[in-house]
Amino acid sequence: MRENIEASYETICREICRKLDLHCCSIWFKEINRQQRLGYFEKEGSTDDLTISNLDFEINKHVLEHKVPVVIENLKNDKRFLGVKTIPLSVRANPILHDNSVIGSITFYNQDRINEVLRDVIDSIAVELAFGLEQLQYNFTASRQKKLRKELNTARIIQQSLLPKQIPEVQGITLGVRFIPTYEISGDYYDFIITDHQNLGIVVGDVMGKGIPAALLMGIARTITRSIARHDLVPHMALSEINSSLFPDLSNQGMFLTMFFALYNPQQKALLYASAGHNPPIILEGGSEKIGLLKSRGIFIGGCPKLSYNLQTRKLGSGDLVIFYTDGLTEAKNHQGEQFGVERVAEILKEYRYCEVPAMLDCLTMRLMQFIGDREQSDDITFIVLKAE
Amino acid sequence: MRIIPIDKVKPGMVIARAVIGSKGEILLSSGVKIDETYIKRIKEIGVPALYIRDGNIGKVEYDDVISEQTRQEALKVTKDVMNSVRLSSDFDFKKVKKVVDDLVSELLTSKDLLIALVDMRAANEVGFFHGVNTTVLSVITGIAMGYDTKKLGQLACGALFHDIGTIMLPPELMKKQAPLSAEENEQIMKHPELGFNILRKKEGVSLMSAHVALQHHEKYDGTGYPRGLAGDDISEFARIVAIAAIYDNLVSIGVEAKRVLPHQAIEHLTLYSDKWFDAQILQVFIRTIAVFPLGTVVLLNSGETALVTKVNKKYPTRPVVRVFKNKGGRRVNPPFEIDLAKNQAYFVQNIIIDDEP
Ligand SMILES: [Fe+2]
Repeated sequence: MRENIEASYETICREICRKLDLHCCSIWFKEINRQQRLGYFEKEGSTDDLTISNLDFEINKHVLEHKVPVVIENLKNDKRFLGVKTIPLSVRANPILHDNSVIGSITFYNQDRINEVLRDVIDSIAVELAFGLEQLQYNFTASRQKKLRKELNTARIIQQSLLPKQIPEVQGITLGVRFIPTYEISGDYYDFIITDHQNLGIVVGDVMGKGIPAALLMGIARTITRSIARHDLVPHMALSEINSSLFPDLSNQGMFLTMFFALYNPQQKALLYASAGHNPPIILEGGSEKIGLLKSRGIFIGGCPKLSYNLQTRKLGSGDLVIFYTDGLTEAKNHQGEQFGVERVAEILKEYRYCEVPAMLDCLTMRLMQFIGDREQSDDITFIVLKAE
Repeated sequence: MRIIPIDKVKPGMVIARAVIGSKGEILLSSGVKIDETYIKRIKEIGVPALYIRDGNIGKVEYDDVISEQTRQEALKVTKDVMNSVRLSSDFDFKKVKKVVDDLVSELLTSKDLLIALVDMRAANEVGFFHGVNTTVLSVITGIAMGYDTKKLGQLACGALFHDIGTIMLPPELMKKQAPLSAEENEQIMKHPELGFNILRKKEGVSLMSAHVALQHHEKYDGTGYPRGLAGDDISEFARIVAIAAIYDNLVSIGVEAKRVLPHQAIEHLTLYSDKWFDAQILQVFIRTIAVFPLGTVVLLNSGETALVTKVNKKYPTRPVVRVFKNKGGRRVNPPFEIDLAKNQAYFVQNIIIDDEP
């Protein structure tokens, strides 16, 4: 069936081009942070010249991300998407909306200016397509998740909005993060906070719960953590405060969360940290290849109204590598049900320790995904790599 | 242009990058349509994979770090030198000097000093190709270490002839497959000194270059041969060439689909850091390797299948990829490209070795 649906979108694009005498038309489907091309037709298009096909990805990415149409009178005068190349085409790209959220996009390329009449036709096609794409999204959803689909979408949008958009630049270290969500949103959360005294707060947390409740709780935890962390409170005190503030909400809902909180001081090159029942980060010493764990005892947040935590300190030497993570990483399972495990993570970090942080993240991710293989990922996976220069 | 392991190559496919024999001769030129006889021959000599044209995916334009002409010239000169050494223990240095200078100056002007292609070659014969590849890798590392033209020339000369001593050994011995007897091993272990003696007597050849031949089997922890030198007692040039030579052997030779991929070579080299290799140099070296070479087929986290069409020097794991199959396995026609450096939500989930064109 999937095959047929895809073929039909190709046909729609071709027919639109024929009937309206357009040069090119494409239809895209939105996924979290990504997009899938459903249909594409280009008059006299060939694999030898992918200029429009490549441009089309960029234009639709813009539409899907910003939820706004893109209108270009003449691509010759617009350098936003094409750079140095020029094509004498006009463009109209529309988001396809359903229930006020973007579920796809449709883009038209024409040799002449797109006049009002044509524009109206194009706009109404975009509206017409909404139902079909909505149906498609429904069909692509696994059957056990169908009922919860709307909720899961909402939860995912909340979670995405809570995660930092940018990684801060901090003197003396390089940071990188990878976040691989599951369809069902299982409460992973991380944050970077630059404090009043220019220290860096690193937070990794895991809400024990799924869906909208987990996402909302994550939102509250984030706000509280940010406001407490901003004032350079030492990590064990910060966790205590966070617990006191969150306890009423958590106990009401019978939920809890684990959290690792670290404060990096660039002057001292020191990492101060405390843990609320969270997995201990792994450290690989630059000089010696020695592997260690940043252990610190503490109960998860929401366990008791008043809790105290332990402060630990670690000086970072040149080349030291720390990986903060959620249990999704170490507990990821392969086909045989075996866990990825701390040792494997440490081993892989060692093997890629001479790569720069972005490459290290990509290589670790690839090795992880190779390990998981065909098995469905059951939990969100988050990891942050910190490398001291 | 895509990499296809030899056991997936079928008659009718068209070569996208020439296959070079172990002596530098062209076995199959670019544009040739392959038939059963070619496939049989290629399998026999042990070439692990080929670059094949794929009309459904479109052309892949690339700038090699050195021109095909210079590569050919370097192979030819190496071959001439080897022959002449075998006959008279001497060779014409002027020709060597010219090709080494060309090579260095081309690499110095190369925009993208990243090894984007893998040069697959025959495994069953002792060849010249290894010398040229090792030289390119060594010089790129030297450039990254801030070497000047003079030093680069000396490094290149040493790298090109690091194994020249093998020419003085019986050819049957060099062709022999492992395991070797103790005496045979002992004989092979003489090639660094034999090479050193050829090079050091040669006028124009720097003693620094000659030392590469002598010391390229020394190991950083002192467990190598012939003298068991350790650490900085091994010349820096030899420390560079030791890494480059092993890397080249790892990725260029392989049996059938069991080719060592660049990321696996990185894992392997890193494992022997401080034991065999100088960690500082290894770090520089690793950062000049494209983790996903041109023509590699990858599976993206979006479920789409794509071909690597442009490598990125700054982000070796974030190339430009061309999506040609969607997540349902349906052909994407025409394909479209995603620049992974600009699209952080995408990443390579796996390398696909056995995708059928
Ligand atoms: Fe050797």
